[in-house]
Amino acid sequence: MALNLTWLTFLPLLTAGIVLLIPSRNKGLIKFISVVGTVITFIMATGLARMYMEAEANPEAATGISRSADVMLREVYIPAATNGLSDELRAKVEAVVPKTTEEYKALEAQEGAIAALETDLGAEGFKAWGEATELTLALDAEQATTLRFVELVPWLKPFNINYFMAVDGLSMPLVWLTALLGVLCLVYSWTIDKGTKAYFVLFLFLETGLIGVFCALDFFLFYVFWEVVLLPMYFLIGIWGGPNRIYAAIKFFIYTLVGSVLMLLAMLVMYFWYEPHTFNMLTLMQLGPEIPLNAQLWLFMGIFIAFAIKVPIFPFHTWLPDAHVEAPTAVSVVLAGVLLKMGGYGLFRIAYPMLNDAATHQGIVYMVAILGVINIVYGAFCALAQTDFKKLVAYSSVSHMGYVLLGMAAMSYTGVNGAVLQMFTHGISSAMLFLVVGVIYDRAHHRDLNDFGGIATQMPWYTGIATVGFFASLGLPGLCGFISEALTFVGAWDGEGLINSDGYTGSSIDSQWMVWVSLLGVVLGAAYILWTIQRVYLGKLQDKYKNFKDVSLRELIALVPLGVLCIVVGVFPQWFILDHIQPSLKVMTDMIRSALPVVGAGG
Amino acid sequence: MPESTAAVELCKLALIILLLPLGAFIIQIFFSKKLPREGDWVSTVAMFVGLCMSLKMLFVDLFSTPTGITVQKWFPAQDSIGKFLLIGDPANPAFRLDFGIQVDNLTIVMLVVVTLVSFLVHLYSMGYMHGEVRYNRFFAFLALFTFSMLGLCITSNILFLFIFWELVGLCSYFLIGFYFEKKSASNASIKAFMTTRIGDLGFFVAILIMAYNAGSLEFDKIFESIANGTWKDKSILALGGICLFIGPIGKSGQFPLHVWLPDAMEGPTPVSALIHAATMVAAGVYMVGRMFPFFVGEGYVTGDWWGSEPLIFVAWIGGFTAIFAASIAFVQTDIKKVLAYSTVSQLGYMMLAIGCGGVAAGLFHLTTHAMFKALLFLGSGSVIHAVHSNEMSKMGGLWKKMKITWLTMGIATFAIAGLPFVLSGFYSKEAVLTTAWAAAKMNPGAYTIPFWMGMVTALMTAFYMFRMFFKTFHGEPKDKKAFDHAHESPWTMTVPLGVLALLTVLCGGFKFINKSDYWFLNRMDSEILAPYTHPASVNATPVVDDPEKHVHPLPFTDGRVHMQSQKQKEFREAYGLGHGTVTYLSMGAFLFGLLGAWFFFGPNSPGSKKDMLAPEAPLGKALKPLNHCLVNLWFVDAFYYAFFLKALHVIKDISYRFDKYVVDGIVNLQGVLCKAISSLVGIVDYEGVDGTVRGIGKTTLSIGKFAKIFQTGKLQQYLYASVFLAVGAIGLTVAIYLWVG
Repeated sequence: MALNLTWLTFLPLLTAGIVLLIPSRNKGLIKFISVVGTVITFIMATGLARMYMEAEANPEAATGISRSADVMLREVYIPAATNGLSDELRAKVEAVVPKTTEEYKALEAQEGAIAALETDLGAEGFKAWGEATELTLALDAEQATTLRFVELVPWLKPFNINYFMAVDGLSMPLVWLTALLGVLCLVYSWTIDKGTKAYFVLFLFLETGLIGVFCALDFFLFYVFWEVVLLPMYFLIGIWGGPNRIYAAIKFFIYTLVGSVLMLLAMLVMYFWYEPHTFNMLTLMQLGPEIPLNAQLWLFMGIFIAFAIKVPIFPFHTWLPDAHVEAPTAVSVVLAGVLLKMGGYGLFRIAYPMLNDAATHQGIVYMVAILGVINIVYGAFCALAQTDFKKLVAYSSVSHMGYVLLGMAAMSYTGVNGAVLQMFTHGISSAMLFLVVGVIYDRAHHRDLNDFGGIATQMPWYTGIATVGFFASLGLPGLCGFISEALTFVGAWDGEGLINSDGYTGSSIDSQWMVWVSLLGVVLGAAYILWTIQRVYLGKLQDKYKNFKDVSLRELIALVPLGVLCIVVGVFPQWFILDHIQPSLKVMTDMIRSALPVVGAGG
Repeated sequence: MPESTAAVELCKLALIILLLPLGAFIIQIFFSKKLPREGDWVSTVAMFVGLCMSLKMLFVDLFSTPTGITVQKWFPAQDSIGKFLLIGDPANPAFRLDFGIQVDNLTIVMLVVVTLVSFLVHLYSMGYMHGEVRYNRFFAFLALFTFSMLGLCITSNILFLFIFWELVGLCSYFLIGFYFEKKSASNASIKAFMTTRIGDLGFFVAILIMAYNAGSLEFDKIFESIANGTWKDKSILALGGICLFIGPIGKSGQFPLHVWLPDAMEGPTPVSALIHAATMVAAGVYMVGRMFPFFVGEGYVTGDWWGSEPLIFVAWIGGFTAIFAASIAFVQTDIKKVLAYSTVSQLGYMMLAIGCGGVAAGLFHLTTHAMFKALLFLGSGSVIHAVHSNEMSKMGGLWKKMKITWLTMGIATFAIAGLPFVLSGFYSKEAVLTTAWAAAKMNPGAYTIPFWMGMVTALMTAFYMFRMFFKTFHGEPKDKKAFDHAHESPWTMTVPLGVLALLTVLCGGFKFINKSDYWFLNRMDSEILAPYTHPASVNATPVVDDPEKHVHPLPFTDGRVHMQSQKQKEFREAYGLGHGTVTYLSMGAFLFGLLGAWFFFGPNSPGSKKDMLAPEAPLGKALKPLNHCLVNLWFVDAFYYAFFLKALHVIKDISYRFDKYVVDGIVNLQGVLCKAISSLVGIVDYEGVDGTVRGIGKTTLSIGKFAKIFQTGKLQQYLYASVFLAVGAIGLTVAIYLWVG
């Protein structure tokens, strides 16, 4: 089994295939095989993450698949394209393959230059030249320097669709988190007895989709994975969910589908805009500026709404509480932990870099930032009003995803790092909180906050672990949430950022009021979390809860790793994650900001 | 500062002191059940070792050099783990934060105070908490608190200070709510956390302002940037100072965010002594002292501190809090509540001192207050332990039963009331008031009223403290049964009382060490302030020895001379000359307060015999409206409940209703419309007009049908469906391509 992204992505699917062959009555074996599959996936993800860190720390020493995309281009893809030619012709072709996009454009602009090449190289040579040139255009983005584990294989040749997978600092943490949550969720789902086989198969299928979304660098491939995620999720909510599951599942499905259609339209428009047509994300990023601003704004809005639904951004968020409330615990965990990040990831990977003129347009910047502020404050107020434990955590997710938007809108290094880190830390803390809700729900069979109380005396270990999750979510220093929130605020306040860079809007106070308002969300966050702790864990124990057992081994396995992560990310944020994601984010931020009329100070 | 080996050694010592309680916490959390006595001795021993090391640092500080230690900084690990946050290019980072240790006189004094009180409180708790539920957790959180508090004192940058600041708040939250079965306890813990967090917003905004304008969060870098003019936006300095002070307003219980501190007395009494009297609440004072140059702001460039808005703001808030809280303490009947309001009032004093430009005076009062207030709380704990009630109406006459408690608490009461020339409280209070006096000379418009507020508070303090003392220990026993049961506490409780009483007497002597008239002023002020005080623009002159005006400068170890601007010179002289007046005034305040308390509450005094303050007595009647205000805490809490809490509930309900009925309503309405359209289309379809009607209605319908199918639970169907839809998605795209292309 080779260590690469394809194996990583499809191993859960393969496991699902094996599980399919096991008779349904063999529930123990089904669970065991599924968990083993996810564990192997997680080990592979960890191995790749290690390799990524090492390669990032010392790019020159990287070998094999750790080499960055631009190195792969020179060392692998161009030689592969010219493979089979005679040595003489090969050297000749490689000599005239353009090294950069500029070089190609210059060539293109030159009247008859390409025709001359065609006659010069001959049919065979020209074909190889064409392939190599195309790859050059694809991989010669600044972003390619931090892309690793590249796999680029033609897939649907007539449409120029490639199987193009790679990860960088933006996607690596999310891939790893997906693999981790896959293990934890399946262990936690050990008690599922209704349609066990289908549940585990769908869950594994879901994991493949999620990892695929974060690895795909071909827009079409991305879209396929995006849709692949949708289906198992729909079934998981619709079959194993709570009483109102059909409504929630359909709402989730249709809502996301509406977004997908918008994304599909924008994707096709971009595909046909350029000649030759391409879905390659790196190429689309480079070619972005060729689309006039007006068209960019339309496309941006389409893609933005697609991702906004997923994030979810106000006012497209109402599917989330419903889906969470109805979904089984493990599904909620994946939904909050990873699925929501597809939205934020999409904005970073697609909407912002590909349409950077629109993304840095003042109106859009304000829109995103203000939506972020609304998410933070409005989500927190809604969370405060909840009496359903799970719905409260769901609204807290809405609130926390607002920080991602705020940091993204600021588009300063600090803000972007904060936003991306927030996706990761929220993935940890919200996943943990949904597990916490699940543990108590399994015992009490209700989630009414006003009906709990005194659980701390009955289940001290559970309370202790839950407290870590709650305080991480509250943004207590020393735990993961604080770091990302603090960075987001610093970034949003910072004059380096977009909204307030002097050269851009001429005012340095613009984003600061937003920070002031968002800070209100921090206080409200403390309010709803402390109030929840009080209502569930503190106070006198009711008689009906006196027979509750403390956390079982299964629940501990699911909860403890996340608790440890909360602390590790909170205490060693730089060493654990920021050092490794920064280079990619810097490249990305620079690229997006290159569309600015005046690049902000400090760039 | 260059790193010398000795400096690194000192910082290493501080790091070990910091890590000891953390280790104790970890042992307590995971292994305490397996240890004898549930491991209470682990934390206690850790605190004792920490205390010994802190004392060692203090002696190095006191006796090795004439001015003590200059600022020593050390970054324990500069490699990848040591960098806490580093965004952007390492050479020119967008944002950078390292965990650094900074040791100077201020740090050392705080280390000694924290470890000392913490150790004594640990010892005391071994007796007081004996047999309580969650005994091991109690010690675990005390240890965690000590760790956070020490971290707060030794860190070298403002964001780490904030981090530890929040962590002490967390421990305070856990310990106030220690008896979480009681609703009032968990309410109080939430109130404490929320109120301080509101204050922390201001703190955090100030950090953002500093990060943006100074480009660094290290204390010295921030001050340097103010002094040398690299601070980006000068106009925001004053706002930044005021924002920064909102943090201490929350944490140190200043008006108007003081409301949580009296409620915090729901926690066990040792916690009240350690956290809510001696150390954590004083963290705000420490922070204002540490950030003093930032509060002075532009004043550093001009050399005139007394026109700086944030500083005047600090002085006013401090002075007002002092007098405000003292007034409420008049009518409290719960012994711990009296002490709580007295703490608020004394914290106001410390703020007043710093706001008037006397960091050292404020910190001096912090130190002495830590001793006598911890003593008062531990003593009150001893009393509560004996009579099993907080209410003073159940006490009285206890001095016969509890001699040690009576004696030690008596010393503390005299100290806080300011017994002239004997106890530490007098000296520190005098230093505070003299500072305010001198500031009033410098800027009469801004500082005269704060000075008089402080002066009147001195009188009030003596009055309400003796009221408490007389009501508790003297007069007839009011509750015979409780009195009969009362007994002196075990040695683990009385020994800390004795030690604290001794220190209460002695620590006024800080003043006389090195024969300097005001050791604190010289040491701390010179160390905290001097390196940043005098940019080239200030026409500064050396401080000269002038016994007549009580000015005694100390030279620096590295040969620098202590410089001062003209304004600072005037301030120093005013301070020297103010001693006499202030001493007479505070002696008067002490006497009148004592006499007044004795008259109304003393044993066999005329006032108490006639019960002149009873509601039906003429004096009681006249004071009724005032009493009404005081008993209701000037309606501040009531106002918050009626206004803010109500508003919060209304807004949250409106938000959620809006979400449920408007935002989600639109979504559902669309669903209903789609359904209606699709059934319409379905009918048309059924009628056989066309079999290939497409559209969103159809989609909705077929999804609805799907959902029904799924109930069968047959796996193949799900998979077929998945594959079908996946293929469909691809097919659709290809079709569109073919159609368009």
